[in-house]
Amino acid sequence: MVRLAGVAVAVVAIGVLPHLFPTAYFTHLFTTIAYSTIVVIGLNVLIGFSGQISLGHAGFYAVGAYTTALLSAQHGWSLWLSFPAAIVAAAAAGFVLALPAIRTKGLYLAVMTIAFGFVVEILSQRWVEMTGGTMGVYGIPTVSVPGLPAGAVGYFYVVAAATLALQLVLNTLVGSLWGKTLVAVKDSEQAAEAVGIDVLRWKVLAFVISAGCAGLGGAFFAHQNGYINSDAFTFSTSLFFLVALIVGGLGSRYGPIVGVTVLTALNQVSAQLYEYRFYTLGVLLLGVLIFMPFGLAGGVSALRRRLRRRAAPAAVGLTAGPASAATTPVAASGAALSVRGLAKHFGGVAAVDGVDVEVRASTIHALIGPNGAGKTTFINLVTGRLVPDRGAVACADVALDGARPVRRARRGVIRTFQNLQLFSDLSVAENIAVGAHRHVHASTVEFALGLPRARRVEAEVQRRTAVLLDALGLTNLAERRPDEIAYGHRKLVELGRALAAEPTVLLLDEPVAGLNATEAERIRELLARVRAGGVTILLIEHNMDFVMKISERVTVLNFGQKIAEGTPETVQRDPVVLQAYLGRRHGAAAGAPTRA
Amino acid sequence: MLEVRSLDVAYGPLTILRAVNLDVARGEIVTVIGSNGAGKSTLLRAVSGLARVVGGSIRFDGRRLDRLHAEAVASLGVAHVPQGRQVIPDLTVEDNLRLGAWRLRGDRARVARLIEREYARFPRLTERRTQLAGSLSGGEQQMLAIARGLMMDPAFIMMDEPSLGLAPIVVDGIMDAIRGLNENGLTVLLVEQAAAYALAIADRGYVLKNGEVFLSGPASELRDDERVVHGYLGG
Repeated sequence: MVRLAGVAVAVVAIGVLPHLFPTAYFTHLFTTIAYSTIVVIGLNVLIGFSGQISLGHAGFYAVGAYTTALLSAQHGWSLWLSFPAAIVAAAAAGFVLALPAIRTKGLYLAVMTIAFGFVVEILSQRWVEMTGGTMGVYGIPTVSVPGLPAGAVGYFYVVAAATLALQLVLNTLVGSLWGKTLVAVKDSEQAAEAVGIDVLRWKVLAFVISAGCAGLGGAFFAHQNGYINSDAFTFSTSLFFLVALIVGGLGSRYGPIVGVTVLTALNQVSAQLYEYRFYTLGVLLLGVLIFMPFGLAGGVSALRRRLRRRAAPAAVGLTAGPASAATTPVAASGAALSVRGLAKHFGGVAAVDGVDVEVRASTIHALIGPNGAGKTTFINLVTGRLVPDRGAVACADVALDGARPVRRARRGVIRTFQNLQLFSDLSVAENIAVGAHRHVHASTVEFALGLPRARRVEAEVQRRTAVLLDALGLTNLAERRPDEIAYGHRKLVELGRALAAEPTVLLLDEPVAGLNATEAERIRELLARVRAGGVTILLIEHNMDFVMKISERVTVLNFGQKIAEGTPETVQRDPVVLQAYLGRRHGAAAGAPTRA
Repeated sequence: MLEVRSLDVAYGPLTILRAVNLDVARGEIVTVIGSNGAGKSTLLRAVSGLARVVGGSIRFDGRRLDRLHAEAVASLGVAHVPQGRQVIPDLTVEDNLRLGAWRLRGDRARVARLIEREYARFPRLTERRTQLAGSLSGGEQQMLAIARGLMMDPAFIMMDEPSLGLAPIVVDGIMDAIRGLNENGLTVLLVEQAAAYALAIADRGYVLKNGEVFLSGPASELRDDERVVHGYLGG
């Protein structure tokens, strides 16, 4: 209802704007704001949500503008065809640029996109036969829709309607699991891959969507005046889009419209001060970054988040309550995870040196050993984060060798990270929900339009998330961000995210480090139930009480080699293990350490 | 040495600590235990100037700390070994250690002595001295974080879960080391999940629950106190 009311207000506002400001100047200005917003909404998907930067968005904008201009003015295409062509051409350019670009990050990506922007700018200037260069393309047909006023006002309605529609689609998209997935890719690629998100594919997708939006914005620009030339597609245009986004608020839904409006207004006010316009832009950008680091719209929504939180009770500590684990049993027999002769060297150091481990299905197997013995490296090799020098890894008799981490995660080999890799911009509940990614079967289009299948998936994931939050005792912290909760609770979120993936083989790197005895006991019970559900668990842990109680088998590593293996009782008595790892106090008589 | 009086700490609208009183006398080992989210780490962060104090006071040797910046607190000789390691991944082990001695940067001979002292304490770090800290295993990073805290040659050190992610035999070593340091005059405030370890070496202990001091007393009494077991474990 709130949403419908918002749409109604927007529609009315669009309807009355040209009447409130009944001059050609203002109509032109509003139209410009509308299509620029389309471009910046796309840029927001790329930078604000997927975390990739583009300093060359004027390039995609130009591709869209020239495509529709040339097709309609010189080849007589209908606008019904030339507009989609503009979007497709820009999106295709985005795809081509993304393929090499996604392998780079940060500065390198920024430089690549700047280069792309310059290439397009130079082409539009110098490829005169095609683009008309600085003379431009003339006679681009104008848009007239039956029932709307002719001329500039009618055109404003068309562009504004498109902008509103795009805003609504993107609101749906970024508010859905789809949007959370994109943010997850931005926050931690490692963790995203570990739950089966194909990071490369998502980054390319963000590029394509963003470029497509820029193409649409460019197309609207081309048909505004019936004339375009290369002056409109310079680096400063790219900069305008970027600054508008930052001023409005990166990753904030209404950042684009706010930023574009403020910047366009400023440009008009300072039109007389044309030579100083970079100066004013710079001052504005600095001011926003210093006083409202999340931008104008971002600042407002952060404030709202704080106010909402005040209303909620500040709960601390673990809640007790019935817990049930949501897992799918697998029909497997024999070894769920089989590792043969696994080896990895770093420089001259053998981190893992020819290790064989068999983990039988539906058992809990512990991997212990001194610090630096190669335990985490072992998990990195099994999950595909590291490529082994030698050796083979198989999950339920299917060889995993050479498979990318995301493929292994899709097969159900799911891990947690010792040095927590939580998605810092997502809430606790969202972190866990994203974990279910490999069971989310709905397309981008379905999410964008809020179609039934996407809604069903979303509801199902939310239901499972709620169950897991309850099982882990995190329900009271569900809306907090990871950096707002205690270390031990973050640990539980890692575990929850892995469980949400409903793993076949679960690899836990120190699941109870930082938890007290009660909390560890709770995790022990939870893992026992998960195992009873058919999941195979391999865990690294230094809490011997926990290890000895929970595991059926224990493998001990030292200097990358297996030095012992067997039941907890045998390992605990093994003199080699006592000397290298446990120390006398923790040997056969496990339990609370005592001191003389 | 350290006097915390009716300390209130809040993050935005969330109250983390409420009217906390805590004392650490020179030469003591004092431990703070409690479940996750009880506010233990926040207490240490408040002392070292990393969390904003809303009410109450913190005094160190009579000086108010609660209005000082973190670097000013550190320069008074208060060391803080934070939770979660936080070593600098792109510097070598040795450079991380040197950085810990920033306060003593003029005194090269002393820094060199301190480095050798820490290598003797953690032979594993000696083997890795030229490696980048980011390439160490989790447990080795924990050792480095502790060693870096000690490089300041502090009079008072606060450690946030030094046992986290360490092999049992190393935890024993660390607890022995803490005791050894204490015998040589270092005052220690220790936050631990492994309550049994902490109470075994501490003189006194505080149990935090939901941001308030739930119990306090000599460690020997807390160890055997039924209420501690229930208050703390049931938290």
